[in-house]
Amino acid sequence: MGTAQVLQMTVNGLVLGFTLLLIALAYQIQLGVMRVLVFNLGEFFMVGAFTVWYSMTAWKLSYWLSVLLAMAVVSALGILQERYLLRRYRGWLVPQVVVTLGLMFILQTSVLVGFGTEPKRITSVFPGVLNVAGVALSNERIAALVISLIFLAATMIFWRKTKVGRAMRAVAQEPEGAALQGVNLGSAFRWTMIVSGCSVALAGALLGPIFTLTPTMGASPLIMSLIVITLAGMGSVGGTVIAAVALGLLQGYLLSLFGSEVAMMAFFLVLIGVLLVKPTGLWGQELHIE
Amino acid sequence: MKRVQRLKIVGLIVLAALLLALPPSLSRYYQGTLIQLLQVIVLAMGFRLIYSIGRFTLGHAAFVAMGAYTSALLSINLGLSFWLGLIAGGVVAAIFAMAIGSIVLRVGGVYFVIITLAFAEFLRYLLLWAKGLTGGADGLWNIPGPSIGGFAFGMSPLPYYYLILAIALLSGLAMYRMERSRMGLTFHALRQNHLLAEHLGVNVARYRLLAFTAASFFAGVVGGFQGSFFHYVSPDDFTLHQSLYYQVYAMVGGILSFGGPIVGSIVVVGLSEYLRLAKEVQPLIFGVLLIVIMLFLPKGLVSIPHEVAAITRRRRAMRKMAESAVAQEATGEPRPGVGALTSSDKP
Repeated sequence: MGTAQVLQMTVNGLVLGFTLLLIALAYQIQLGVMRVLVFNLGEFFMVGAFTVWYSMTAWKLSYWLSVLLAMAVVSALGILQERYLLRRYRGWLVPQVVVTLGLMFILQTSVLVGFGTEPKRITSVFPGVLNVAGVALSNERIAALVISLIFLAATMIFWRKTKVGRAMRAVAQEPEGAALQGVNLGSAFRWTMIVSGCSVALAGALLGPIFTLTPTMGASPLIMSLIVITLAGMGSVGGTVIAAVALGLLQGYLLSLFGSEVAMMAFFLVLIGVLLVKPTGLWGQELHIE
Repeated sequence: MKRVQRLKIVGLIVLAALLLALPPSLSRYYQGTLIQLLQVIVLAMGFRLIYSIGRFTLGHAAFVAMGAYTSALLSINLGLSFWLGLIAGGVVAAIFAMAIGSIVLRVGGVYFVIITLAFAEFLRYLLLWAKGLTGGADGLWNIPGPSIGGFAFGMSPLPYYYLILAIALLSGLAMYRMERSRMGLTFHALRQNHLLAEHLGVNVARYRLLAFTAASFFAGVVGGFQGSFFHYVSPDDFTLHQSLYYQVYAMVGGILSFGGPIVGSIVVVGLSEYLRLAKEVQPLIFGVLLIVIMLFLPKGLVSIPHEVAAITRRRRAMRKMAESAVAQEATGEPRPGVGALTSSDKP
């Protein structure tokens, strides 16, 4: 195994890691601000990828416009879901799980009925390969890495520096206190769904051209990102970054060396290993969802 | 109250007679549907048993898979009799449940949901990976059917129907006994306030493990049955969606009452039979049912009689109040309270 292969595996792992990070951060923001765990985020990922595919093939829109459209569609779905299905169940686990699993079924089946089971492909926007010290890396993956990094940086600035971001952080710390200080809770929840929706839609749009699109494509990113947040601990952003990138890299290496089954099994084994030592994840605190 | 109880007993006897006498006259297709229904009833009840200790599992299919593969491997490779294989499937599922449960039952809430979900997927990938033993994605073929006293179960689903009926009745009875005993009370105490239960001297970890193991045992037995009924098992029978469906049945019927999972399974399976939907479109109905039930009937379908009774009671009370108001107006007397207030209000 040469350095070329190692480098390629690393890039593949990083791409997966950053995509997982996009979804896992969406989870963390929703958990933090709204105290909800949404099981149809994998389907939002799928809807994002399908929106890009549809607007590029049917309406001949450019990739970038399609990505923006996907973000808008997923955010809109998220806002509706938050307003009518999630808000009433804040901090109340079982109804959240049940309702979002119901939405997962509905979204999956609707896309299946609408577009069929045949796998779709998004035509590559970044064809060709990049030569780094004699190693060929696909442009697509490099672009996916760069774009997700830019998006993550933008999200962090939004979270840390803007007024809305500050309001969301306040709600995450103490919803009643924030409301007393004049923070509009409904608006904070809407922004949460917008930020997390954009993040998940972007993940779908970036992985779409690399893999094929099927209505059930959301299942494994869902499970992997859930494992990431469990491993990192709920509420820990730094931990999520480390866990997502580490698990992505692990997946990248194991996938090329031993195949996809071993790679998926490793995720669970790591999770169980960590939980044996520290039941609330590596960096997490107790979470108040019962 | 006595009348209700007598009605219940008569209903049960009629139901038992129907379950025993009706199937031979049904077509093979409906016999197959009934077999599937009885299987999911046991699994949905197992889901509820785990829920009753305050844990929400999304990985119940994993234990069905363990039972199915154990009994299939034993009967194919070692030629073990089906009956021993069936028990062995349950026992292996229970042993694994004990091992896994002692780790994951410590964590509650969200964490448990995620871990059970991940575990079910882990097991599916393990089955796909260990090709030498499990046949990988192709699964295991030619699983022999059971035979009893020289009578071999042939191609007809009917003997299988009676077998799964017996399994469902026995496991249902076992879970009913658990529910109505001290143990059942303890389970519900754990769900409602595990700290208080612990303070009162309940060995929380042991009771949780007990419920989890028992539910997994029944799941393993159903798995063993399933393998011999289809003569075939593959990892595709135990996908994520399977685990989610058990949850649908239990939730739609009503998770808080013992009859909930039974009613839910009958209604959901019956509904998808009635609508004759393609297998791929079924989840749409499940999703809509889940959301509608959660929003409007959170205690499930079994709570409909209570809800209706509550509404009629409220209506009757309202009508009574309205009638008395009308009567008082007719006699010209001021209504008590209201009259007093208006008279003192006058300037």
